[in-house]
Amino acid sequence: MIDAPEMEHLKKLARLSLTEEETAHLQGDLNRILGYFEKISGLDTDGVEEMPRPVALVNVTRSDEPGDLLSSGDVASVAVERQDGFFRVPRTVDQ
Amino acid sequence: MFRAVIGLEVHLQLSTRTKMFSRCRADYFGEEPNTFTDPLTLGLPGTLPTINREAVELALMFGLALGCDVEGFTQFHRKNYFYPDAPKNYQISQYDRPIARDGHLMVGGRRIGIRRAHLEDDAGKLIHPTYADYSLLDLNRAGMPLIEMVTEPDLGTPEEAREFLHLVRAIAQALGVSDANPEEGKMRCDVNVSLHRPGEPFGTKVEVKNLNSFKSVQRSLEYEIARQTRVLEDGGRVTQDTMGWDEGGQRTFVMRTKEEESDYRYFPEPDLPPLVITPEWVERVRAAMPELPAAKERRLALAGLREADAFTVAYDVELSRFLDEAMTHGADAQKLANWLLGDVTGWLSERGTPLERSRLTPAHLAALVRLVDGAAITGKMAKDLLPEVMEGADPEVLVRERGLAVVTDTAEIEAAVARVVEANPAVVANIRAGNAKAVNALFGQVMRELGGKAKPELVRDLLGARVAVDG
Amino acid sequence: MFESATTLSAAVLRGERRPTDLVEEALSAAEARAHLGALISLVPDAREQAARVEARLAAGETPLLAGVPVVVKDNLNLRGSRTTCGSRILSSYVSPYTATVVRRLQDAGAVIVAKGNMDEFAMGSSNETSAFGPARNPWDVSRVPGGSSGGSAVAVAAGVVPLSLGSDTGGSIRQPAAMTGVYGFKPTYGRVSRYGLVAYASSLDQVGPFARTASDLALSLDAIVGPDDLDATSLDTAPRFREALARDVRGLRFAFVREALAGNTSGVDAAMARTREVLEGLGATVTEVSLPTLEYGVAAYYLVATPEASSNLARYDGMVYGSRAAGVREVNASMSATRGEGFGTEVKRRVLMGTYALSSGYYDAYYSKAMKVRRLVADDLARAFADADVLVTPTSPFPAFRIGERMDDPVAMYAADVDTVIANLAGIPAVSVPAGFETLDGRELPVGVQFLAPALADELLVSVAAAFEAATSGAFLREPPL
Repeated sequence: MIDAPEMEHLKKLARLSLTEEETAHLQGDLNRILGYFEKISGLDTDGVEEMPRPVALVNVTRSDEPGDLLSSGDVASVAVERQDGFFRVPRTVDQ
Repeated sequence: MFRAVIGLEVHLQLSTRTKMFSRCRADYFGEEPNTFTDPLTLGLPGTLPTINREAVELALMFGLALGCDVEGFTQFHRKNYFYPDAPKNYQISQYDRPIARDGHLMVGGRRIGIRRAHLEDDAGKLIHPTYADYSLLDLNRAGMPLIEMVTEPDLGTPEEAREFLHLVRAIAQALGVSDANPEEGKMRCDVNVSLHRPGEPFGTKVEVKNLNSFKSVQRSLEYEIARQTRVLEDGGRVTQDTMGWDEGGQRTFVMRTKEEESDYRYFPEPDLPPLVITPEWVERVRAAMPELPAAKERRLALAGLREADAFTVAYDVELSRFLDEAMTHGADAQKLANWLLGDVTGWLSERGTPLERSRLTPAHLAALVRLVDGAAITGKMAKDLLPEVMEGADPEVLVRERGLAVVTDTAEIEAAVARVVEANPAVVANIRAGNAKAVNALFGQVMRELGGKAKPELVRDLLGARVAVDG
Repeated sequence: MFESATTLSAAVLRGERRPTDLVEEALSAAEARAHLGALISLVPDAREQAARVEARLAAGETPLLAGVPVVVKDNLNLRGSRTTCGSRILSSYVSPYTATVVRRLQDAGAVIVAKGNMDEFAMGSSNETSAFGPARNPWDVSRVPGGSSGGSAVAVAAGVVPLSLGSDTGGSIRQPAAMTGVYGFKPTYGRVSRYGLVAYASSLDQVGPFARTASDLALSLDAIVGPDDLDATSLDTAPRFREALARDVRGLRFAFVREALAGNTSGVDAAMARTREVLEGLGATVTEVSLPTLEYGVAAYYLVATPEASSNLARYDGMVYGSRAAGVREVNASMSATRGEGFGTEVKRRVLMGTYALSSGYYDAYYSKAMKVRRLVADDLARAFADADVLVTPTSPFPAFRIGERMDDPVAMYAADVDTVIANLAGIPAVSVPAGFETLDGRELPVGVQFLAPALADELLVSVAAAFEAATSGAFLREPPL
């Protein structure tokens, strides 16, 4: 089950800022939902292969031919904030 | 007392026309920010990745060149982390089934293990203007195809690490996989280094990231080894930090401690079906592979190059291209190498011009070599002509137009010798009396008569014979 | 506008109706039905699109859906239109590109007139989590139309347009179709391109049509089904849906899923019983089959979908596009504030759940386990299809519930998906067919029955829908009392 420190960890991992009330509320929801999902933990899946995709396709690749670039007008139209052609974002420290 | 254990993580930007997962053009270098983007590059809602087959083939070639296993199942995973330079806030990379595994590279006779090489997409570039409360993001580079190669911790010294990188670069360039030049960001390196006493378990490893030249790789390793040695000798413990390299201060500094390590929540990329690399596919790639430096080295040695020269040329893609082309014009390989590695390199480095941007052609250098070899001109004359040949002049044309060809007609030389001997009876008598050195003055006169265009050895022989005979 | 797309496009091709007139009719109907909250925005260039279709007709072209006005769910990109996904975080986002499936509709001569309301980022079963207000069931406006493609379903059910596109990840086309009394079709995973569909859960999402007649299902599927170079998960199949309309179901084997026959309302039970009679009357054989994994489907679905969703929604951080929280100086704080302000509660719930299920230490117990249960469900269905051509279940255990009734209990809301999620998990096609009504509080509410077929047998489901429609004289395809 998810405790308060785990909630804080999840909020940070998911970059979600929540009020204390929201946090408590969602924590309760998540635990209730997890309780409901406990049923699958009882299922025997020994030796069962994971199914990450519903269709068994392989080797889907494309040629190295260029397509269209976005015009600078299009880039400008979606951008939140720009400066000299760059996207301007809040101060970031080098990682 | 302490032994260094070094591992490298190298990122190579691939030489493709389009990005790793979209048809966005890849030739963005030096262009205005955010002008080489498409919906996937920006991470717009609703976009989907598609795998660039050329990138896969380059990765296969690279893996084969490093002796890796490349056959079988391989797939992409999402590596999830939040950072503005990754517009989707995840990178499409490879996790437990990379495209190449378990290879090696011989460095100075030592076997360096290559644990894995995999494909992934690059992030954009962030710049942080000083004193500003914002950062600036350019996504032109976002989505570019990268090979990430990870070695086993088999390297032992900073010099060896640097040599390893040189070899990797040469291979990448020879295969056409990547331009691999750190100056353009096409080859980037992170290092891992720890110290231990032989026989004892490995020590705590420290990572140094974002090294953008081979020199800083070497220097940062030297610094870290010294630093860790001091810590351990003082009885302290090395902490598992992630460091950056301060080029100005020539020191490492802590960027991140272990606690801040990210949980990347890897899961298989649902938008991309996996790849199954068949033996037939591998064979096709192998058959199309350009000559590797090691093979080139052997071939050049067989062609007559000295070991050291064969190595130098084989591991420099521009030198080897030039030499191979020049050899097709029938000039001696070692002599060509002598010119290339000697006077030509000298001329180029004085001007800071790389070989591929000079006007010297392989045909012209070959002609120069043939002219000297065939005794049409002397070595000294060739050196005098070199500056013009470097600027594109054809040495055969120069020799013809200026009548530079050395006099080889013995009769002409004998006539000149005869004239000089006749005109200098006192000197001749002096020589015959035992003063051998006096012949030099006569020699100089004969050469002047011939305009300097005669093989010195021949002149000496004929002069000497004449003086002796007339005695 | 309750004429079918088949009728309208034929009339347009005969020169009897004009695309520009049809657009005006649709826009008037949209306005008249505005109280149903079916639409988030009108497409700015709808009239220009219609004019372009007229020019093509004048040049002698005969496109399949000539002049037909359609609505597409607001998680489908159309260049120049707002694409909000029902979320505040994208409330002003205007697409610079068009989804492949939308482009194919336009290539077929359809005119996109509006973007359909939806649960935020397709997460929901009632269209109540939209940041732009709920959509309402035209049969009883105090009730939900179902979700997450509620708006697209209502647009067709209420006669605004004859055709619309929705998306289906766990039942989000079929369930609102059942609740509003129209057809809703989820194709085999990969038969319709996802390029331009804003992703919720990548291995489960599919785009599909809402329609009021089986022939319109066929028309729309013929227009949109087919491979796409831009979607690496798309299949190289050619559509043959109009051909399938004429095929009868005599001798086909239908199996009713035993586990799905319990726990339904009386109206749903009645519809299932009637469906059985109709099928037998058509010369099909009807049996029962057991799907023991049915009860695990919802849990497996959520523990596969929410991890993928947590990753797909990570991009909404206000750095490059979308909305950004004001006045936050540091980057992580900014992203967190933007997402905290911009996402609704259900989205937050699923993003947190997905993050948890993928996180270090929990991956094996949750995401990995769920992917294995997914394999068990797919195998179970394959086993059932060994002896049956089509499986039958209710689409939903109950008809439309009241707005607000299930919002406080996520588990109760999720349980509504029990019949539909298995098709997404296995990637098989499924269709909801109007099959009856249930009277609640004096109001008739539609009930839908779901038919499932093996992967790639989509055309078979259109044959079934057509046969059922003919056999019942379209008795369940009625106009709501508006």
